[in-house]
Amino acid sequence: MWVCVMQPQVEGLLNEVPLLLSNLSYSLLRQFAALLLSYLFAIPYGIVAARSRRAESVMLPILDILQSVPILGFFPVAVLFFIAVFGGSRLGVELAAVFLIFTSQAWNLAFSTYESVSAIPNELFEASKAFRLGRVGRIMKLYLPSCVPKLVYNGMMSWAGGWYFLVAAEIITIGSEEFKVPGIGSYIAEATYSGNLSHALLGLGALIFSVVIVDLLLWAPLRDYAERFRYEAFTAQEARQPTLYQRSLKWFGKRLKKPSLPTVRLRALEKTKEIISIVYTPMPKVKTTLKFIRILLIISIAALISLILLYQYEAVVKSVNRFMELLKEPQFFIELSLLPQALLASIARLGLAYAASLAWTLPLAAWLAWRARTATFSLLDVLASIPATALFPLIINVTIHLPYGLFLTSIILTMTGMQWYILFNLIGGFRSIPSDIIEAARSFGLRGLSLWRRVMLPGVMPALITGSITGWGGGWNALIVSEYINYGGETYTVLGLGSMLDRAAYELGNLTLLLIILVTMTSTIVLMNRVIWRRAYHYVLHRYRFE
Amino acid sequence: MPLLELRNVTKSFTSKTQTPFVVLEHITMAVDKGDFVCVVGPSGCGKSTLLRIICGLIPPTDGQVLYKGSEVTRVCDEMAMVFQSFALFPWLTVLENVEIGLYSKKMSREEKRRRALKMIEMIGLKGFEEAYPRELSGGMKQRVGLARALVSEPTVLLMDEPFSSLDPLTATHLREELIDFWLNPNMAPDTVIMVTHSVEEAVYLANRVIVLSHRPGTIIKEVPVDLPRPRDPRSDKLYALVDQITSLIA
Repeated sequence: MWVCVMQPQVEGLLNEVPLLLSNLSYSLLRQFAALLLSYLFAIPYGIVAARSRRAESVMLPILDILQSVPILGFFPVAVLFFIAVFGGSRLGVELAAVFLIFTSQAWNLAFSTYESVSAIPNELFEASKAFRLGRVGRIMKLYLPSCVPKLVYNGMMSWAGGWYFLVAAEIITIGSEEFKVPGIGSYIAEATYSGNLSHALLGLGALIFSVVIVDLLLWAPLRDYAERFRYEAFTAQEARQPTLYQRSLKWFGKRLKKPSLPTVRLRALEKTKEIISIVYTPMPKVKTTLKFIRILLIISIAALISLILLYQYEAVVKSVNRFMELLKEPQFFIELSLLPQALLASIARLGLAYAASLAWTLPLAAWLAWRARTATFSLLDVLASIPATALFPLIINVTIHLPYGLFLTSIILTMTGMQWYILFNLIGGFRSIPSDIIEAARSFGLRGLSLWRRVMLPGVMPALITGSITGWGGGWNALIVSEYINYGGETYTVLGLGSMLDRAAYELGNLTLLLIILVTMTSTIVLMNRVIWRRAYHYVLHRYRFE
Repeated sequence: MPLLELRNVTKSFTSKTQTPFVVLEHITMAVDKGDFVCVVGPSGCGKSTLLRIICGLIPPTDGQVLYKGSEVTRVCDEMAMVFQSFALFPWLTVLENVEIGLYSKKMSREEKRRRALKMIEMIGLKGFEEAYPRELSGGMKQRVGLARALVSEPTVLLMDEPFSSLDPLTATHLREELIDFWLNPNMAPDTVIMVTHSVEEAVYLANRVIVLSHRPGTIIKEVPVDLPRPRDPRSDKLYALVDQITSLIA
């Protein structure tokens, strides 16, 4: 009898499979296109920034700012732009989606390239000069190979991150108009909005399946290949033929060793400071270059604007008119007057999510760092690789009906953008505490709380700061999807910058408001990085680093 | 005319915050074909910088380097360098690393391969052609470094503390082999300029030891080593010279 009841449902799901597969391949195509574009942008950019000091002083701060812009916040602007240029055709939405994923990958890959090329040992560089490799030879034999490990590793991370954004990018509602492209993200979103949970789960399953398959078929062999391009020597154990199990552990180990991105970021911050000081001190040469670049920038922006004006003259006139009308409308000012409150609300939300993330990751990371088995790591890997945006429907389904459901839901959704960065950095941090220091502390009778206070917490501090910087970055992003929730045909919002941004884009369709909010958000992030995180990082590095 | 001549070479580095500091000052020396010269001095005296200036890797701030009478303005074709930390490309095999030594030479791919294989055999790495540097011991790595430098048959071999990151036994072996290469008239190199901080090594290997002072590095003295070869590393005469040079530095 049970079978009889289940039959039509199973059949219904089976009928979905062809549609699901075609949607999945569309999404995969978008992902590959964006990754390819990102590499094409990132590799030359990173190499030039690393090899030319003058270029570095301009290119790094640009990258830093670009990286600070919350990608999802950037998205509505890009959508409005591409849809305006391509007149609402599918190509516009298609390009906007690819562009969004591109922005989520390109900066990070450019930093990786920059970091790899900068980290080439000086003697190796001298050797390439002494044996007269020339420009092409140096690129082929030195720069590109040196980038391989980081580009593979970060490509893998970007790929995972790309899913997060793709799921959010395939369906967009602007005002009363809905733009969508076929894909796994739009599939899940549609199923969710129409309250069809079994289809949403099916889509989610397909997504996880493809994440695992791509990892196995593409990234696993690439990781093995990249191994050859590392500088450090193999240990005897690693040199033996690794099993799949060991390999996953090894991958995990690498993932822990790597993300020194924030250090590069800090370096970028320093460069920004430098550039500011250069602007204010009379240094004729650099100043002319800067002036030149500034002029170039102004010219290119002017060119871009005039291009758009040429092509979209009417549309622009219309939108300018609409903007003028909007300015008269009370709505615009009402929204604008909410800005300070929304900003504070968002920061408070992030703070709460941060505290909650720390509360569960700190003990878990300490435990995982020393005691956990491989199986736990593999499980964690799979968990972390699921794009959280695809999980949203499920989470919302459970939490929205709880007391304070909306408040709780928005915090939990924000956490999904934060917690993994913090967790993985913390595990790495705990691992990096030299065991002899812990043994020494134990031998002097420190245990329990005092051991934590004197050894563990100070030891993990640098990693905690690093994880916090990336975690907050991810959190700002998550705000845009966690403060404005479409679920079952209804829209739930809480006060915050994220929801304001969404409302400006999708309800009011007001580009000006959108830009104002985006600029507020970006400058808050840059400011916080500079005022809080950079100081904290230097302080901690100065005080707690193991020599 | 000497093979290589340094005229009043001075090198100073400028940094943003500090006043420019002088690493090498008024270095004037000459190296004849067939010579084996060692440069010694306290750490930080600019020995390695001197070698890089000779090679054409970095330009001197003042003065000139002349090779066969013409000024060295870029990396010189007839010199090759061996590095302290080997500077092997970790992503290239032993064979590919040695072929790097022929990268800028105009010859066919096959010819490059043939020469590299021959060099690998001579240096005693036969069977390791397809190995990656990380799979080799320190001594073997430096053999690759040596092979890469010698494969192009340079007239002058420049060595930047080539044995200082090896264990003593390996270093002893490699020193012997280097001497054999140098003494063999059918093989490169004719001329060796080596930078080292080990006075014993310098006296054991060189025809002439050039002693540099502490920063800024200037030539304190040139000490000829007239000991007959093969030399006994523990002979009294050798140690007398070692003591003499050490007292100049300390």
